[in-house]
Amino acid sequence: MKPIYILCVEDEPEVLAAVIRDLAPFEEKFPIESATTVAEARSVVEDVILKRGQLGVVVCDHILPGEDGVSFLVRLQQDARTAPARKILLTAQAGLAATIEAVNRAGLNHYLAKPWQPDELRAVVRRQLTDFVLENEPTVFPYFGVLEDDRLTEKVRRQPLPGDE
Amino acid sequence: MSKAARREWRDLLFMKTKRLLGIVLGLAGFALPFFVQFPGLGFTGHVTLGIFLLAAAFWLFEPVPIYTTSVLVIFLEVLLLSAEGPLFNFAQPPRVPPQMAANPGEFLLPASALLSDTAVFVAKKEGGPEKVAVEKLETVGAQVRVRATGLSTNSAVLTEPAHWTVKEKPTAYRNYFAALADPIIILFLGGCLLADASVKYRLDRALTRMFLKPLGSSPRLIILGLLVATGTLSAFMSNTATTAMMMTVVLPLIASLDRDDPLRIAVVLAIPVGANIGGIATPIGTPPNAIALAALTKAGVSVPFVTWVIMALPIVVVTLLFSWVVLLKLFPARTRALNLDLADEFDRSPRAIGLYVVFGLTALLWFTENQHGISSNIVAFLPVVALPMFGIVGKKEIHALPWDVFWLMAGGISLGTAIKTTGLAEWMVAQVQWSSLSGYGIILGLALLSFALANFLSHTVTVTLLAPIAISVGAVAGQIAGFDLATALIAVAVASSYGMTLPISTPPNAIAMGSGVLETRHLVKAGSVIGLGGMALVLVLAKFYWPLFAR
Amino acid sequence: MSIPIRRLEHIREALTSMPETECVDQPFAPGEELMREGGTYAHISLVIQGEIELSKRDHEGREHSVGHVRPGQFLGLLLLSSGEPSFLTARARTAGRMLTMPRKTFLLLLYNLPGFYQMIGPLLLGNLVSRYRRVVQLHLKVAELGRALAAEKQQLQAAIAELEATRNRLIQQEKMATLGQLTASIAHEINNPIAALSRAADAIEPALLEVFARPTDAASLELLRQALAQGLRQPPLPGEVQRERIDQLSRRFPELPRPLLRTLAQVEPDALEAFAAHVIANPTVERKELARRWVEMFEVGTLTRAMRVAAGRIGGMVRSLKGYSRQDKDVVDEADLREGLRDTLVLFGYALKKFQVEVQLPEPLRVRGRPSELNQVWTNLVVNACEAMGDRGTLTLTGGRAPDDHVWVRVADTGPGIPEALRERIFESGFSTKQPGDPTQGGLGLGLAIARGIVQEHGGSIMAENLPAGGAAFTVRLPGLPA
Repeated sequence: MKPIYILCVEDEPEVLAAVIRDLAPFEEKFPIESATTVAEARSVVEDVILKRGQLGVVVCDHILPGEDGVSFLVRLQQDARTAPARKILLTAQAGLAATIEAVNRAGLNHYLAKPWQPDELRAVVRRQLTDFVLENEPTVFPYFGVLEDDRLTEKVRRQPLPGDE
Repeated sequence: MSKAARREWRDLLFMKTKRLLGIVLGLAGFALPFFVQFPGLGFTGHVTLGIFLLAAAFWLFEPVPIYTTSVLVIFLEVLLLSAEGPLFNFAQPPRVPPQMAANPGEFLLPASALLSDTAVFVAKKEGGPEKVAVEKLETVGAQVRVRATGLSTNSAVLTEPAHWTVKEKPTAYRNYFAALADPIIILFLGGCLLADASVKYRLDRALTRMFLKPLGSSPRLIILGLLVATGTLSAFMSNTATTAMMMTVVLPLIASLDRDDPLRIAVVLAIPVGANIGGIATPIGTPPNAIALAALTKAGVSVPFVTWVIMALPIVVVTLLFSWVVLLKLFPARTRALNLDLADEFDRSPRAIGLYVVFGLTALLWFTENQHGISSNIVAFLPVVALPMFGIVGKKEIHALPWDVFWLMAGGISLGTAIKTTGLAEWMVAQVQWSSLSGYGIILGLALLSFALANFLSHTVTVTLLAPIAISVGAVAGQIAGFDLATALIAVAVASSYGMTLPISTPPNAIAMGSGVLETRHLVKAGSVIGLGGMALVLVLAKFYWPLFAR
Repeated sequence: MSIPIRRLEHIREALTSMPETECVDQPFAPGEELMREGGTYAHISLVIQGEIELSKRDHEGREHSVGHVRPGQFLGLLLLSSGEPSFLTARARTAGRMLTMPRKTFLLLLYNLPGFYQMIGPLLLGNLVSRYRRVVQLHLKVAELGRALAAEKQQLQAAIAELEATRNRLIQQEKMATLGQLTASIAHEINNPIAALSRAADAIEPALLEVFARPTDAASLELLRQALAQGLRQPPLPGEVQRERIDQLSRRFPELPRPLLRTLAQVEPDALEAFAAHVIANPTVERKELARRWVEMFEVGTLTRAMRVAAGRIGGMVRSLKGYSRQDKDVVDEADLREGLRDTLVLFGYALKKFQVEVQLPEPLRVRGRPSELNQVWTNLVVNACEAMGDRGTLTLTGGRAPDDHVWVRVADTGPGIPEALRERIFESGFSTKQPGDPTQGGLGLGLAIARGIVQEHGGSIMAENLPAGGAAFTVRLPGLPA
């Protein structure tokens, strides 16, 4: 079973460390990778994440040196291998035009404003990881205990009951 | 190459080799009887042997899914063993309609049509040729004049009554297809529909809460409660479905425990263990039980629903308690208290009430079979009619029934039929000097073989392969002291349910492993101890308890 | 005073019948010029019929009507006493007749012939009186006009004052808009270190509690102190290095959870070896506990470091802010332009993040002026450059001393440049290349106008040009102080 990765993209090292620390409870089942620029993020996706598993959730800032966060998310959406990933924008400033583009062309799943509440960030990531698992994983049992258990349970109960072989 | 990639390649290669081996062995086994003549075995017996070897290889090595092997079995039987199948159809000897003779009731037939002076064979629309009595009156050249009440000018009289196709007595093809709707399958169908409806109306969760709530927060009692709840549910739901449902209950429970608290392992293990054991309790608990019952019915031994329960319940209860002790010993809990927070899920809507009524009625009728005499298979059709009729279930639940399992069982049932009717069973038995063995020894051997195979194979397939052997021995039952057919088959079926040592032994084990909480060694340790303990009980009951029910 | 026609006729008859009067009955046609200003005339005329217009030229040559001569009034009366050139121009307005006689004769008769005086005297008097009256009326009119003028002058002054005030308000608004952009940039810039600071503070608390939850012996305390020192020293690693180390560590210690590996990856390899030897060699329960607390203490160190860095950044922002908006705006002071430029860049750091920024300010740029106003100029130029470049580009800031003792500062961008046709007009008030009605584009078009105003007040100049490689450059020249 291929591991599901969480990717954090943020250029300020202290803020990036804070995000990763907040998401530590998920790391046991969902390894976390990080990048400080879009170029680095792309190489991490290509050389690490897609080689060993699949991309589940991206938490991305918008204002980054070089290419900006929204255009990175658009690219992820356009690549069939990363399109199923859930995309979260965590930013202090994204103008209306950038946000519209993120929603329409990048399939943005959630917008979080900085500064963030750690509990809210965790709740959002938990919701998005649950969405991803429900849509993409054939079996959900490995993910109980760290995601939204009641939704996983509903999925199991709604499927046709398996018979004994 | 990384370790993970190497493992992946190794698995792939292993799978491919295994499947290739299965195909090769299967085809070789199928072809064998065409090249080797076994003395004492008729033509159809050889064909059946070929089908049996093919099926065994395919079921063991799984080059194709096991239920497709089952329908392949039925198909081959129809093609090669049935009267309407191409084999017997093409090979049929010529026939002619009798000519009217001068007097009524008298006919002119070709002389060759007479088998003896008193019989001819007539081809039927369905089924094999039928013997018809005639009275030979006179020979008229190449013809004979006979008197027969069973003939008419529409009959198709065979001109070569000694043809091999006549001797083989092929049966109608509908008899092979009939396995798909065998009364045992209907019994299972009714049980499955009740199980589906129970999950739909959350009855399984209500029962679980009912069992667990009074136990408080003591981890020891909770393990027991889980074993009992899972076992009870598994008695009427499939083991796999029970495991899936209960996993959604316990996995959130253990989320708050320490990563290295053995209680997590004990809780998660209790589910597949309880499910596998609980399935023994009723004929509908798991397909091996139904296969055993079907084989017994074909052999003329009927075991009512309630009788099975009475025979099985003691071993189920004792094994559950034994499992409880084993789990507590192997994985002692570190925390003092485990808080359960189960919401009240008891559905009181009209449809749910309807379900409870239908369920209760069905169960009641099953358990009182001896009193009212209506077969449990017929009773099983009550929920099949009542649940959809009152809108308690709909098309979705009908579609969601495990049709692949029904076909799997049908394949096993029809194979058993073929083995019996073609004489393969008798021939197999004749190969072994059974007389040197005691009846109990045979049962012991069969049960242990069933247990051994079931750890690697599907339980249903295990019983499917072993039941004909047991039936065959039962065919010569009178000669072997201490051999009771019902005991043998029940022992085989129950022993198969104890094959739970490995993750691949049974789907509940695989689901439990998939949660990521268990490591293989935990499962192997617990599964082997409990399985062997259960087997010991099987051997004890097979000696002392079950033969009491023999007729 | 109107003379009855009969009496006038009577006088005419009397006068024309006396040959010694040398009186001539002179008809005139409309428009006929009877006297010209500046001309010399020796006659005096008495109008019998018709109307004559008197006019005078002003110092700009424009003719103004100053009066009329009607029947019964004299023409050339002012000339009577003096022989001066005519004061006025007389032009007939209608056809008419007048009695003209030589002046000398008129005077002679007037003084010597009583009957003549009896006849003419009242006429003369009447003329003089009416003329006098007219003068008084004119005085009054002048006084009235003077008052009206004064009132209008007041109104005009009030209007000018209001326009002045409006202009100041618009400038203020433009400043506020700039200030708004500045504040937004500062807020975002500060946001990140504040988030890092607060999250680190949150995380330190449980770590510290964990570390000191149990009593510790001296040797372990020393180990923990080392862990803290390590953490304080260690800056965050670049992603590549961190990832490599995590991979190595995960191969070496496969049973450790990933968050722990991430922390261990930051420890210097030597210290990590010592730590690993300590734990791996003796995996007793106490050592494992100590190891966990070691890692927590290291985390406390890195968190403290992170807090320090974040606080430093906030402090830097505040310093730049203070430098930028020095309160003494009206006081003229000496300053090095480079400070203001750097403060502006720092405060706009957030908005400049997506661009490349190159700064070349090798020499001091000392001027005398109002630093806070000059900062507004830099702000305006930097903001314009950012808006021109859109999502990516390079901002180049250069400056130096010119040979003529001026200092110059140049802000260049890699945007689309200024359309040649507009290059002259961009400094005008109210001129903006931004689309009106677009809510994402502010700007009243006053920015560059205000900037130019400020620069000019400082005695300098500002000009715009397009660069050959693409983009625009704005150069500000200011008189410099001697180095």
